[in-house]
Amino acid sequence: MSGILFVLVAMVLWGTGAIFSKLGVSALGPWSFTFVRSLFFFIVVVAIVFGTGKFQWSSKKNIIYPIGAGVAMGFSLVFFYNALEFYEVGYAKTILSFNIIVTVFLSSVFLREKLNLIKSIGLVLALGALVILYI
Amino acid sequence: METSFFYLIGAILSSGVAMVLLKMGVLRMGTRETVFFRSLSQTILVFLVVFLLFGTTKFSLPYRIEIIYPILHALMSGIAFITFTKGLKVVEVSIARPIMNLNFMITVVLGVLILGESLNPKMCVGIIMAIIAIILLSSASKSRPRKSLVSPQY
Repeated sequence: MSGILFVLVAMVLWGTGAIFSKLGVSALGPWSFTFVRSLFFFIVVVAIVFGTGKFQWSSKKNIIYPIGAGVAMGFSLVFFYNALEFYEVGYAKTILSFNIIVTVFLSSVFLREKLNLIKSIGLVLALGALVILYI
Repeated sequence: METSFFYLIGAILSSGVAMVLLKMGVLRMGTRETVFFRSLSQTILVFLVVFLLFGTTKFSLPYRIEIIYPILHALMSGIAFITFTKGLKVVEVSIARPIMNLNFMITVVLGVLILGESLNPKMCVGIIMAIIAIILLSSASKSRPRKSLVSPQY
């Protein structure tokens, strides 16, 4: 039961945090917001990573994956916070949730995760929802 | 298509790619190291983009009370990451991931209640379809490795 509670708390925090992103972008502009947020997020992550356990950098050749993820996520942040200048945060966050379409597709190609019937139906539904929300 | 919508498309594409790379990093390096290097490269990239576009002449740190918003956002994201990781130790990924991916519902509700954002019928239909789609897409397939994916979003 407590495990689900942790996940729900995380869900609420991520969902609620987006409200501060809208308020911050409206007040500071997307670039200042992105800069300050990224700086403090890195400080928080460093505190968590080094404060809660041993850091073991064992596989240097695979470092390309988290670096690539960071670069891609950095661009995502830049795009998203710029989008918040034009769109309401509820709408923008809903649209952003469709990144799972890209994740599922790329996972089927690069990670050989099977695209079963359920996921295929989900993909079609997600694309349909994206079209509805855009028009 | 409006130019501003390309920002959202760009965010979808790049965060979708980031999730896959993050998973590959977690599978090969471990969560702690992956999260650290991902955060480091993300921060460096953001700083580079901000300074390349603005330079040191136009960009200045906002010394106003509103600076609390990005700080709070960063803190909440960090705490969310801790609690999600703790939850993943006990809860199956197939249950945790759909819950995590539906956090946009919280944003929609709070956006309406706190920011006075609109919620028209078209948006409601889109959101309901999105919820069902995300639950279906987040369902575990038998071929997937059992390692957990810690994927804090924003």
